[in-house]
Parts: sequence; C-alpha cells; structure tokens
Amino acid sequence: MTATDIAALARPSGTWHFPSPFGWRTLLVAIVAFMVLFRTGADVEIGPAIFESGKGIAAVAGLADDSQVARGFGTILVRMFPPQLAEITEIGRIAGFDRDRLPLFARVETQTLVVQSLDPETMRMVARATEREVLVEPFGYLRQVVAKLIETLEIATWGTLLAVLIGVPLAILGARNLSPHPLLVILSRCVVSLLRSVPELISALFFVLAYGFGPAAGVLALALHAAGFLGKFYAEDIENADPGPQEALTAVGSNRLKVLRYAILPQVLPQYVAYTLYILDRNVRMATVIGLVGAGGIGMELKGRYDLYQYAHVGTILIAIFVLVFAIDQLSSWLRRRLI
Amino acid sequence: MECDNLKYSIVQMRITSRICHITALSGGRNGGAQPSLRQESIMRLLWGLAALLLVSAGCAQVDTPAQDALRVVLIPADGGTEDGTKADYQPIFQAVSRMTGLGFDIRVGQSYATVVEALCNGGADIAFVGPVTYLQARDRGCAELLAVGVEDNQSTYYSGIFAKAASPIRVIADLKGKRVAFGDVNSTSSFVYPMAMILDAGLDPVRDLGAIRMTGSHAESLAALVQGQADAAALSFDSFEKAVAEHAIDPATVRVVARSPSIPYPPLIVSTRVEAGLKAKLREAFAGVHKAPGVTSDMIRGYGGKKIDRYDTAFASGQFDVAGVVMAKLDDALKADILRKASER
Repeated sequence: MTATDIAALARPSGTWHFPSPFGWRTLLVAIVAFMVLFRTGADVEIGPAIFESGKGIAAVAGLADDSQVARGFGTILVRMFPPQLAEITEIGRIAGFDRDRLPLFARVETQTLVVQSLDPETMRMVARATEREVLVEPFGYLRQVVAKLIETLEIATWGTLLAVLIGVPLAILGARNLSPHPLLVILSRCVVSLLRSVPELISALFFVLAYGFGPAAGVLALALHAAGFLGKFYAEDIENADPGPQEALTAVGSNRLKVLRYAILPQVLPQYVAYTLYILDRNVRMATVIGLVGAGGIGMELKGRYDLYQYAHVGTILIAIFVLVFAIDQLSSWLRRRLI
Repeated sequence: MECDNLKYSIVQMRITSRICHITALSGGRNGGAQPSLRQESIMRLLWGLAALLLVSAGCAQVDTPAQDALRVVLIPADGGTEDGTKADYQPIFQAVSRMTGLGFDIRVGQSYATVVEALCNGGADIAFVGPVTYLQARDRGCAELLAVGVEDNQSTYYSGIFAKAASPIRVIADLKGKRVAFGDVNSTSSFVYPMAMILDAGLDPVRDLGAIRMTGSHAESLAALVQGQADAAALSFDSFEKAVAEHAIDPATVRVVARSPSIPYPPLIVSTRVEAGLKAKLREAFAGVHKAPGVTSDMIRGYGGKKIDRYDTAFASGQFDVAGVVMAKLDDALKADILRKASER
C-alpha cells in the first residue's frame, strides 16, 4: 500500500468517491459506434435478414404461416433426409459386366422409369416410360464419399506439411530477435502478409491454370495461405519468448541457431503444435471447398450433386464432412492434452 | 535421391531427440513449456511421421500416365460431379484407347475459362466443353472440333426462359422490370443464348430488366425461380428435365416463356498443337466408337450424361458459326455492364 492510499483511507468516508464507471467520453464512443453500426448494418442488409430469420423461426414454431427463409431451407433440408447410401448404376454402362460375379452385397434390379422431356416444338412435357436394369450396391455411395474424404484429408495434410516447411524459415527471418538483418524482417513480413492475403479459393483458380485440374493445385493453394498464417504466428511467438535463456546462451557464445534450438524452441513448441493443429483443422474444412474450382477434394462432388438436384447425396456428404472435422478435433485435443 | 531423403530425415530425428534431452535435463525458468519425457517421445513421433510422409512422397511410385497419353479435360457442362462426368465419358475413351493404342489422362474441370487457357497454353490436348467455350478457344487459334454427339440425327439442344405458371410473364417483353436468373457468364445455354433472346426482343438487359441474378449454374437459377428469388430463370431444357426427373420441380407449376433457337451440341475439341496424324487417328476412332466391340449403346453419352446415338467427326466447324453470331451480340462491354448490374442490389 502506498502512502497516498493510506492517506485516502484516513479521509472521512463522506469525501470518498468511486471512479465513475463511464463518463461523457464513453458515451461519445458509444454514440459513434452505434451510428457506424447503424450505417454499415443498412449496407449489409442485416435488418431484413434478422427480420426474415425471426419470421422463419416463427413459421417453424407454427406461429406464422409463411416465411421465405423457412421455405428456402425447408425444401432442400427435407429432401436431404434420409441420406443417400446406395449407388445405383445402369448395367448397360458397365464395361465387361459379369452377372455371375457381382460385387459384395450388390444386387441386380429392374427399374421402370418415367422420363419426362420438354418437347421443343410444343413446349409441353412428354412422358415416356422406359425399363432399365441397374446394379444396386447398398453402401456404394457411402464408400465413394469416404474415398473422396480420404483424398480431402490427404490434400489437407500435405497442405499443412508444406505450410510448416515454408512457414518456419519465414518466421525465423521475420522474428526481430533472431533475424540476421532488419531488412529481412520487413521482407519476410511482406511475403507472409502477401501469402495470407490471397484466399485459398482464389489462389486455387490460378494453380489450376498452372498445374491442371486436380489435387496438386489444391495442396499448393492451401499450403501457401497457411504458410502466411504460420509465418506470422510462429514469428510472433519467437519474439515473445522469454529473453533470459537466450541472453544466457548468447553470453556463453552460442550462435543464433543454438539460441533457437536450446532457448526458444522448447518454449514455443507447445504453441506451435497448437497453431499447426489449427491449420490442419482449417485445411480440412477448406479442402472440402476448393473442389468448386476443380482443385480436388470432395467440394466438386458436393456442388455437382447440388446441381443435379440430388439433395440426399448432398446430405450424405455434409454429414461425412462433419464426422471428419469432429474426429480431427478430438484427435488434436488429445494430442494437445498429451503435449501441454 | 530418395535414400538421401531418408538419411536426412533420420539425422533430423536424432537432432530433435538430442535437443529434447538437453532441454529436459537443463531445467530452467520456462516452467510449463519444459518438455517432459512424454513430450519428448511425442515430438519424436511427430518428427518421425513428418519424415515418413516426406520419404514416402519421395519414394512413391508416381503413376505418371504413359508417355504419349493425351490430357483430357471434361467440363460437367450443366452441373455434374467429377465421378459422374468421368463415368459418362470413360467408356468412350477406353474404347478409343483400345482402337488406337493411345492413352488418355482424364481430368474433370470446373470452369470454362480455365479450359480455354489450358488448351491455349498447352495444358490440355482434348476437352469436352460448351459451344461458346469452343468458339472462344477457336477464335484464339487454340482448338478445333474433334467430334460432336448425334441424337436422332441431330446435334442440337435448346435452352429456355422459364417463369412460374401463375406469373403474368407470357412473352419476353413481359420481363421488363422483372428479376431474371442466369447461370455462368461463359455458359452457352444459361447465359449467352437467353441474353441474346432478350436483346432480340428489343429489351436492353441492363436498363430494362428489374434485376439480374448470376447464380453460377442452371440448377441454382431454377432454384431461385422456385424459391421466389427471381421472376424468371434461364436454363437448358436438359437441365429442366433433370430437375423434373429428380422431383426438384413440378413441371405443372412452370411455364416456358420462350425457347432459344437450336444450339449446336457441346463438342469434343482438340488442341491445334496435337499433331495432324494423331488428330486423324482420333477422328477415325470417334466416328466408329459406337460400333466398337465391347461398347453397348448405353455407353455412348453426350452433354449432361444423356444417351446419344454416335459421334460425328465430319461436323463442319461452320455449323457453330450460328452460335458465334449469337455470341457476338454480347460484347465484352455489355457483359461487364451486366455483371455490374448483377452485383447491385
């Protein structure tokens, strides 16, 4: 307790006053913030969105009879269930089909199909019934989705591994207390910001041009963006590391590399593992999207099924992605628990 | 090379474990961050895994396609999945492969523009694309026709402008002030032809339409119409039929406001870089693929996975000029104005 504090306590209680919780300055800030929010809220149309959401919830609860939001979600969500598990293939399209050696659990069915087409002359629908023989594999679609998810996971893993390999040197050059030259710090920070500023979906567009459609473009897109993130966070942790051990090592004549190894790494490793696991988690989620531009993963299957109006397939994919993300979350929290 | 990799990784692992030992023994003031023995073993495991990944990448047998494999890019012309599009075309390419001895490395792409660039910068040899995409590549001198699918002796399809049956929109002129949904800006049947129809009807899409919604695909345009986000939607007849087949829409609730002129079928095209002898060999094979041994009529597929009769390789490139004339009605400045209007609210 300082002398002033004691003096304050000695004053009669009537002269005590608490610092007021807010003053005119707080009020001014609040008013300005409110005005900015009001203006930007109008720009992003948040008002109508909140209003429509409320109406949607009311409609679901049976309090309102019609809502655009409820209708929009409803029509698709209802058709996502039950999720699609089976794969149905026309037998005529399978090269070298052998009736006596069907795949495991598969069966042959004859389907009657009513095909409706729009006659270009009359512009009316014409219905025509056709029969077709199909091969039904009860879990065939699930198997395809799992295979695609494994590809997605592979893209994410490689994106993360490359991001670490690119991010670490950038972080070492970009950390003020470790970098060989201040100019390199600025240069490295510049590169790191540039990498982070290009979203994966956009860089994937360019990589698809250079490397062709396929997972390689996706891996590189994920790797570069994540390297921008890791380069920044790794570097900041190096700068925040306790200087004591570093000074001690420098005093006994250790070079920068030894300081990094023996004084900094042991301190920052747990955080590094946390960042890297976060990047893996993020890359898994992003890898499910980059398929939209043809860069591999499950995204293209998802968008394609949506465009084919096959919402039950979309349901299967969404559930599968959720299971994968949840599994990775569990795995990484287990790893963190063991490490920290 | 691979073995160097392996050696390097093992050295890495040793160094790391030594660091961990030293830091574990040295104690120090960074309390919580101090690695324990368990931490050390986990770090070693992590490094081991990383090393294993790198080594396996280095040592993995890269399954490069055969030396002379032609790189094929398929675009799911009006929505479709990677596997589905591959399943549509793989039997045909396999048959052609058996007939010619050529190998094909088939990829599925998503954007029309990327395919044009790939054909022009040598990234692809053969592509299945929309008519407008073909013309864009042809005009840049990068591609020529390889084959066009034939169904009932015709190689054409249609697109239309659809509205709700209950709406007052009956002809294109009624679209004035209404919200209209279109697909991709490079899509023949969900953008170029419908826009040209609107221009032909005397409407200026930028000035006269109430709003333009660029949804990105046929399916999403139709969804916008069904959900009431648009008063009319432009999409291909095939896409509409697909929606009916999947019970995504009841055809009785929708009216065709206008039908496009017949549009040349989306073609298979080949890069101009491909050597002439090879092109001739490919043409001959595609012309006879429907009669090739082991090929059933179900395996011959075209646009949108639809069953077709055969492939025509003598199709005159000039027959696509009709599409070129339509395409020319939409110059880049107008397209830019349309995109700007589409981003307005």
